[in-house]
Amino acid sequence: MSDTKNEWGLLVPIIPFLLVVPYLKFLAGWESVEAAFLIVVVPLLTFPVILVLGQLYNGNETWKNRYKEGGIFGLGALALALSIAIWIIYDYIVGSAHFEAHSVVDPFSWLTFDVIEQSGTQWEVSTGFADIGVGVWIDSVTLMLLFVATFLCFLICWFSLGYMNTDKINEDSNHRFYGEFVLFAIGMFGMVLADNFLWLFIFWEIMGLCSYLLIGFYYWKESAAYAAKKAFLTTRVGDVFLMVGLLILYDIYGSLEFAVIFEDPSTGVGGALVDSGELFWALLMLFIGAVGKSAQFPLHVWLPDAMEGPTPVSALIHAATMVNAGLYLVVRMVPFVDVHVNGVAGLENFALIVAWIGGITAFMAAAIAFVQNDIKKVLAYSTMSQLAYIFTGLGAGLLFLNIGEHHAGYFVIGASMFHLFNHAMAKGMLFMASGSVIHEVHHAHDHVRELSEKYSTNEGDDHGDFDPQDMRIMGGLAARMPVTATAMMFGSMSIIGIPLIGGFWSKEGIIAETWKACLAEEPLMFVPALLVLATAGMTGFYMTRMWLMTFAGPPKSEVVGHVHEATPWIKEPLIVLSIITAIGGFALALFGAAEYLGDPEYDHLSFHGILDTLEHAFLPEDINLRLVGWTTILIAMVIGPVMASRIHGGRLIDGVEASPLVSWLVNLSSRFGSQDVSELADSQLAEALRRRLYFDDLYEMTLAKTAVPLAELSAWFDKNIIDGVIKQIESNSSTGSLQVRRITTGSARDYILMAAVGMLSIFALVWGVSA
Amino acid sequence: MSSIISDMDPATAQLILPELLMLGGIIAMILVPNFGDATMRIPLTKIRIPFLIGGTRFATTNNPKLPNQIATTTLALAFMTSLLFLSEEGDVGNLLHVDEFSRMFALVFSAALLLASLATTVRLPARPKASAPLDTDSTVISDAKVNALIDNRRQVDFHILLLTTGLGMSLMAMATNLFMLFVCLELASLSSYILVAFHKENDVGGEAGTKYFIVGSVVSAIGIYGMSLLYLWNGNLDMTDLAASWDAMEGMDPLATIGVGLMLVAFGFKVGAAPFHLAVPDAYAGASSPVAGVLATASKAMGFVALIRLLLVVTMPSEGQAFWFLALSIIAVVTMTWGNLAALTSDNPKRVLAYSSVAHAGYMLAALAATGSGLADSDTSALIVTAVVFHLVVLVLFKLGAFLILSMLEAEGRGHRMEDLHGMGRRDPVIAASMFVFMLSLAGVPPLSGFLSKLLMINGIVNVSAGSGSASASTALSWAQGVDPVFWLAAAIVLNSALSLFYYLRIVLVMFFESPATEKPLKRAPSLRMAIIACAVLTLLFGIGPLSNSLLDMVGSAVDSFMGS
Amino acid sequence: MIEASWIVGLGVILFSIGLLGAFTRKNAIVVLMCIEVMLNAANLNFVAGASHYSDVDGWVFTAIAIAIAAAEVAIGLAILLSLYSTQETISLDEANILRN
Repeated sequence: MSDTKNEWGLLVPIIPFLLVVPYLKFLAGWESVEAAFLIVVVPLLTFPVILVLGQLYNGNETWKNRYKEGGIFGLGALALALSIAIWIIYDYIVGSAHFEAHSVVDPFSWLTFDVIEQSGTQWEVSTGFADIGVGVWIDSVTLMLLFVATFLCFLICWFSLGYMNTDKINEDSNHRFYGEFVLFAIGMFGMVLADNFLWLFIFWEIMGLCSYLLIGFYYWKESAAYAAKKAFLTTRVGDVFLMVGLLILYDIYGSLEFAVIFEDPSTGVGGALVDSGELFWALLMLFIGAVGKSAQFPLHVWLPDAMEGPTPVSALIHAATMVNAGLYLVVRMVPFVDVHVNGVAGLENFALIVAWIGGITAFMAAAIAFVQNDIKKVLAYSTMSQLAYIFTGLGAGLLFLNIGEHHAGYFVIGASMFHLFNHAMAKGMLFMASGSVIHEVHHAHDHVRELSEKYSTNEGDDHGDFDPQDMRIMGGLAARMPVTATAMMFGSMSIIGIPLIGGFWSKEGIIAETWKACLAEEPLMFVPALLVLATAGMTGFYMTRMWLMTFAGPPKSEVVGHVHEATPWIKEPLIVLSIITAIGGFALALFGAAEYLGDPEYDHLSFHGILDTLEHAFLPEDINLRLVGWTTILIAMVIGPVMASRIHGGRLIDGVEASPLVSWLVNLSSRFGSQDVSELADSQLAEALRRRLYFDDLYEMTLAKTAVPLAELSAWFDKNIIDGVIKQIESNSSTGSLQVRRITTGSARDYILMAAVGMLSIFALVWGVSA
Repeated sequence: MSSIISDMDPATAQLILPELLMLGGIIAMILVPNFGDATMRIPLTKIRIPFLIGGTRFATTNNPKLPNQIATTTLALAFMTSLLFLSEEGDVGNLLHVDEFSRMFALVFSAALLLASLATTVRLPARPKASAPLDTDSTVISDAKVNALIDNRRQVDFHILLLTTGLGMSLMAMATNLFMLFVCLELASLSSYILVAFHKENDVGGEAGTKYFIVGSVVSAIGIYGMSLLYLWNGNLDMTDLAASWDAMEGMDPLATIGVGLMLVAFGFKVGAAPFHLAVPDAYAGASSPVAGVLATASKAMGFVALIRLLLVVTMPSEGQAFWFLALSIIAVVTMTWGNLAALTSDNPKRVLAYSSVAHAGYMLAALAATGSGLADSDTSALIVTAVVFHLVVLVLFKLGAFLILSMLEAEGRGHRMEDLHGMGRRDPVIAASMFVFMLSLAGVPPLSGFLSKLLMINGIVNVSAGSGSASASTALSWAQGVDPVFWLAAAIVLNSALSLFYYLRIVLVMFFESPATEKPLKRAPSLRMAIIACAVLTLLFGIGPLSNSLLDMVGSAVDSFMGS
Repeated sequence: MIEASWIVGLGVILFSIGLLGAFTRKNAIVVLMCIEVMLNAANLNFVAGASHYSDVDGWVFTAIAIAIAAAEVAIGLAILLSLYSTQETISLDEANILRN
């Protein structure tokens, strides 16, 4: 179980995958952009291989130990994708690939419909009716998302080798996991690279399918099957709107190609001026699709339930792929509203809607996260809340762009994308760290149970009641899991926005610019601005609470004493991501990442200087912004965490040691006194939060009142009317068939007679007609 | 009438090279297996020289596989030469005219017979009551049984008949004279009667042969009588001449009309049109599967060549409705409905395929009928004929392919009941998958060639009736009363296709979802297996993509050469 | 000289007799004879046509048709033998294992 032997030798099969990029670059002489399509194609070829081999060799020892039931192949394909992504990014940043707004590569046309055209007697099976070529579209946003997706998919796959393959429950079904995992990654890579909205939509739907498959990975568990259905159906609601949006777009522009649409978004098909009203509806429909995918209010209900999937899946959905898709779609809308270059004016309302949805979701999710005791659920709500930040930022950015303030607009959009990056890195790590916690607690529990079974006949400890995700049984894990505790600490800090660490750099920008939009341009922005500011403090509270409940204080159950951080493959991604989370944000901020990501004219990263960067963040010239910035820092860093510490803080028990930084924090948390909140926890508000503000109940009730009776009615109709008719036809045909076959008596005489009768009737008929 | 022999220069020989090859094959088939170590004394001396014919036969010439090899080689050569000289055109004597159209059909015939010949390798027992090797026999015993029971002579008989069938069919496709057409048709038919009765290891082989022969002879007697009436009317059976007289005819001459009607009966039997088709399922069920496959494809194609010649060349009026339009439409609809209905509950896979072949005849007849509606111009007629010919071509792939699979089952003494197909998916996945493809193609599921051909036919028919359609629901009823009958032909095809899905999918269902009686895989039979897989692959390739395009082009230009002449 | 139409009339009668016989008689050999009668009706027509149009084709057709008829009888009898050897009957009504 706690197999500590070095398994790095298993990585040998991925070496060929890693050699592809050097080969292409130095021997084949490819441009990095030319290789971009391989990011999708190689995994696409890998995933059936994993599934087929998995079926063939299921249970085989070599397959299980040497190839990790397909995980190694998945890792190889993702490593290739990552290496190509890095190659492309390198080329763009150092400028050897000329940075343009986009590069379209059309390696081959992937889908052509053969259409039979006919003119006279000439038959032609020609292509050209709906020739949907596939191209690759690369700009700064693509680069960033591509890196996030490939990098995190790779790390999560690595993590899964430890997490999935050491669990008895997954045995012999891991090939299914890796196959679907790779397909999920394909969905994200393809969506990010697609150069038209149709392919974007297709890959979007592939992701939807995979989310269903992976959330329902433990399909025999009723809750998992339910969660999978819920996720699929809820996102489908958004997808339907998205499809409508695409149809409207097609109606406006006569094409779904980015190159055609973004050439000049203000003129539609045939040079007609685009009506901002029609475009508003198109964008709104697309936005609803994004809301569904990114789990924003009011289509957020699926995300917490999606925790039913294995933890790597949660990490995949929350950090690397699915939820980012919605954000990506909204970022793609920038050219529509950017009046600085060919945008369509009069879309402020759309921007306001985006910002409001973001603000509301941010606040609501953070509030619900207060009362969650399940470690993954806290993270789930945190995801919702952080994504909502990004939406708010994008909303503010779209607003600025639409009223002509393009500098501020570009900046806040860049900040939002930067936040996406920071959040993805932090959240991916947090999920993996929580996975590590869950995994080890689970194993420790198994261990404890084995012991208790060995020494007593009492079987009272029912395994079914044990929930390894419940933070109320943890506590004090800081000493047992040093790497995980440190990683989770950095991740939480980044999410909270502790100055200088990860998310601080981007979150600050979002909040400040939202306030700027509120104060300078649009009073209606006040609500989202206020909400995101409040949420900053709430984030500080719930993230600290989670960390403290898990790692600080005395152990809350005997299981904790048996936890070891011993599973292979789990630590490496945590360490890598800890480093990135801790210093990556600052490093990128030094190079002006926000400007680079947002501003199309800002065509390369350049070093800003530490002091400049710090001054820009902490001492902006606008006094209002300075006020907002410091307020944010105060409530996020001080008020929230301190309140959490008062409730959940505490020293580790004597005699155990943690790493210096962690133990300092743990001890710090015990200094603020303690506060009993049981009264508050029993209050109606807490209950409402625990019931997730009744949204699930509301939706379920609405469905029970409307869709279910309708479904029952149509089921009845289907069973009695349609099936009835079909059965009738079937029985009539069978009777007819028997009758007809009876005519074939088997006697040749009768056959001749029938022929003669037939002949005479033909003559009678012809004579009758011509007479 | 100048004789064919005097025209026999190299150019003409090249024109009918495939037929000459088949003739050569027949002669070789007669001679080669008789080669032995016989010697002949030169008269008046005592020197004996080897004479070859007679005596104890050599091991090679006694080899039971030899006739099959000769037939396969001959047919393959005929196929290739037909393909090679596809666009050659010219007269041979004044009874035969070679053009792309006839070459196209020569391709169909030789392909079908080639496949049948491949399927007959080493599976023809010598004596009627010879027992096929049992499942329980060891390999040695089973090989010994096969070797002991197979006799070269019987193989020779069978394969000579295959070749004469081929010769008759492809000559028939070239005939410009109705009598010549009929003689060639008889050559092919008589050979096929024997082929049907050849399946003596089955109790019903003789019966099937008898029925097929009796009914076939009666209808061909009817046909010859009809032809004689035409001769009385015109004094000449040359088809162009007949067509000219037909055009010049005022009103309806009873001699001519009745004559054509009687000939329709004869050809209707060949294609398996109701109500002349009744012996067809019996014949298929009693014949060995490769032969049944030949009947369902080559023989049917032959019937359609005759029909096309008679209907489109001779009796097509220059304008207005052809007199046979209504009759043929009704026959077509009855045929397809009858075939599909009867197949629905049939429990013998061969009968199911036989009835399905009847239904397919109905579809093609419907398409042909549409050309006579008086609404079709020459372009749309050509379109429809293209569709029909295309269907006949691809039919060789999937219909004959299905029969070949049944012949694999037959080789182990099964294949007559639906249960024999049970669990094929587990016993032999590749073969079952091929059968799946064939069934889907027969049912007309895209993207298989069966779909394309059916689509082309329906498209042709709808094209003829184009312009007639109802715009709104309120006028639909009055539209339905006023709509030209051609439209209903297309509707009938569509409805019947839906009906036919039931039984095609039933076969698929039992193959994949029922448990087999035995888990043993089917015989290896490599050449046959290759042929089946090739058929399945081509079924797909001719359904979509560039290959289907080029085949369509080929058929299209063949039909052009025919319609243009 | 007999008018061609009389010959044709005889042909019609022969043809009808043949056809009627073909589906009223059970014995396969009798049916075979009926087929011969029908073929001969056609032959009569060819002959009548040939004399009417003074065309030699008709004679040739007749000759070939007779040859075909002979071949047909030979094949037919062989097939009937094979039927008899398996089912011991040549009655068309009794040979009906294959049906429906």
